[in-house]
Amino acid sequence: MTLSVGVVGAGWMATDYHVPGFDSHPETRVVAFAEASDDRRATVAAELSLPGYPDAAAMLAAHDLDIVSVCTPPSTHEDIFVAAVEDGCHVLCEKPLATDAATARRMADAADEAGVVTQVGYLHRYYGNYQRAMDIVSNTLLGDVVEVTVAHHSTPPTQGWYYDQSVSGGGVVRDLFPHSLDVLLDLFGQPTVESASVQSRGGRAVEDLGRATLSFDGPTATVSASWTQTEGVSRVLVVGTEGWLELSPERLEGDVHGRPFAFEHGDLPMVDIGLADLYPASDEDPHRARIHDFADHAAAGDRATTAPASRGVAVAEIIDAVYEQADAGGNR
Amino acid sequence: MRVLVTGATGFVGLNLLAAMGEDHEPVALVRPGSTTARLPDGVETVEGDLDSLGGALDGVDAVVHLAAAVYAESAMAATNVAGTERLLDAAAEAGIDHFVFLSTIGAHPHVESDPDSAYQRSKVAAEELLFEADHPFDVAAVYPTYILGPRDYRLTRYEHVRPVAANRLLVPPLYTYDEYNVVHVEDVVGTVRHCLDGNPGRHLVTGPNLTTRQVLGTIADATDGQCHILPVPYSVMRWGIKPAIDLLAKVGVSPVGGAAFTERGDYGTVPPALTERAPVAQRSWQSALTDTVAWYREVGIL
Ligand SMILES: NC(=O)c1ccc[n+]([C@@H]2O[C@H](COP(=O)([O-])OP(=O)(O)OC[C@H]3O[C@@H](n4cnc5c(N)ncnc54)[C@H](OP(=O)(O)O)[C@@H]3O)[C@@H](O)[C@H]2O)c1
Repeated sequence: MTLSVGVVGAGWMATDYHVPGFDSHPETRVVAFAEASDDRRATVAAELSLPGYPDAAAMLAAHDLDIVSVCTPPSTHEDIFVAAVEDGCHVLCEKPLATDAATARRMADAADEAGVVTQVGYLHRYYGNYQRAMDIVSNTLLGDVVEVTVAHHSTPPTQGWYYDQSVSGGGVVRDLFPHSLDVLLDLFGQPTVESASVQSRGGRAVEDLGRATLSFDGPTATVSASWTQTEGVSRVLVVGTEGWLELSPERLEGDVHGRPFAFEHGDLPMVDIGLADLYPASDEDPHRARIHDFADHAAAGDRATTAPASRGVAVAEIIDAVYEQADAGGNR
Repeated sequence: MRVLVTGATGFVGLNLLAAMGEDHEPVALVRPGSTTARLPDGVETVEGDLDSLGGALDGVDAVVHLAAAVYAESAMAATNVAGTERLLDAAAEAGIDHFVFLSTIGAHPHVESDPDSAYQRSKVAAEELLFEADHPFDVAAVYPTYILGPRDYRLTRYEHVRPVAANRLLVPPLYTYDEYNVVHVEDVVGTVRHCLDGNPGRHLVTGPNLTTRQVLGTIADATDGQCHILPVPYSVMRWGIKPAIDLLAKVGVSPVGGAAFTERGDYGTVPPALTERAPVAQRSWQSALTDTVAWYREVGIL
């Protein structure tokens, strides 16, 4: 049986990733979408030959949907998410799940009540290198992990709502920390926020630079993110008692007991003669991977996705604490 | 029977702990800085090392001595010889019944040892401590060749596997003309347990002697089978490839000369009369390799 999908919010995330993601999965098809802007709705309806509705409620009323995919700005997530789960739909919701932890908790409770499958759209773990790194770390190849350093810096977002606190729930911390926090929570459990600072370097209404030190049971992690780059960079360094690894989305390398390893896009080389190596061309598509993974879980009715709404709550709690710490310490 | 296991956090130790049943109740000796995350759930541990055993032997009936400096040359005399001596003394004092030592093939009296290897010298020296003194307990020693299998957390065998998995075509000098004698870690573990069941004395654990092609070919099949091992006669290597690499080194393209590539490595081979010996039913040498590959894949390193 094919599951019918309705997508809410027809921005680039929906048209470039969610619609092709669900349509390329054998068990899901997008049958409708909702979009508030009349112009955009008309364009997308013509482009995708799909019925478009002005809001999620109208779409839910008109179709018997199995899945709702939420691609709207954060402050709108709660109403759409709750309406969808109450309608018995499984929900894939873009990150951040909500603008604060209290809202996220109400959403997670509604999903539990309805017993539906949920996933928050964290992306990092769907890169081949992250999958490898998570396997290597969780299988204790690095020994006991002592320290994790995450740097995730990007170009400023182009849409205006990112800079409107009431819509976005914050700046770069709310926007980019979730991808990393999802992975850290998975590997090391719940942390406490030791210290944090946020700044607005570009005169923006929300912070465009944020740093936090988190202490987990075991390692200490520092996470930093910014929106100030012309060309983004994303790196993770993990140091354990018996080895280390460093990764970007492209390359992963490390060492265990003096024995080196390296991957690109999660793959071994095709040729490695020591002086030079050659990796296979990568067709890695983490967006498609996360949507397919969610679709698999929805089709199986399996609520244990990589990041159910409860993960979104844990992430929001850390981000709330980061803002509190930054305010309390006068680091804003 | 309570059994103190030294080296419990190492490759053989973790495999032994995973296999020990009700009749042998392990107590793992764990050095203060070592991770306990890899030990089986609920296993009893005692902190200490060979320099400071403390009360590690209190209430134990047997000792399996696996701890050794295998790669760090500077620690070999202190750990492998003096450490073993201290443990034997402590075992006598504690009144244990069985002492099982994990030696190495080169230290067996019927196998020629390599005098240039500090590791083998240390294991030969331990031999005297074990068998040329009177002990108030049974002494057994196990002599394995080149051990492979799961739980190689230190990636000691990765160097044999990665080049195969990371190349579509393997030609010299990407491989060298080595000889191997490979055994499965499960058979070493089985032999240790056999010793604990009251079988003192010396026990070989050996497989057949193998060539590079046999070993790499099996690894190639166990990875995704995409690597082709190109057989190049040794003479071509010796008189063609080596001089070519020497030349490349001379003009600065290759960081090393060709000499290393003509060396023939020996990983545990034994005289023909001593092949395929063990006091327990043995797994195939192929399974030792394929289980290693499967484990590397399982933990994400392949
Ligand atoms: N692997 C082979 O192919 C092979 C072949 C023949 C014989 N053997 C013998 O088999 C035994 C186990 O080898 P393996 O491959 O399992 O080695 P391994 O993985 O290197 O483990 C060595 C173990 O010894 C411990 N250790 C080292 N120094 C110590 C000290 N001063 N005090 C207490 N513990 C100490 C290590 O503890 P940490 O975890 O704290 O470092 C670790 O548990 C060794 O005796 C080795 O000579 C191995």
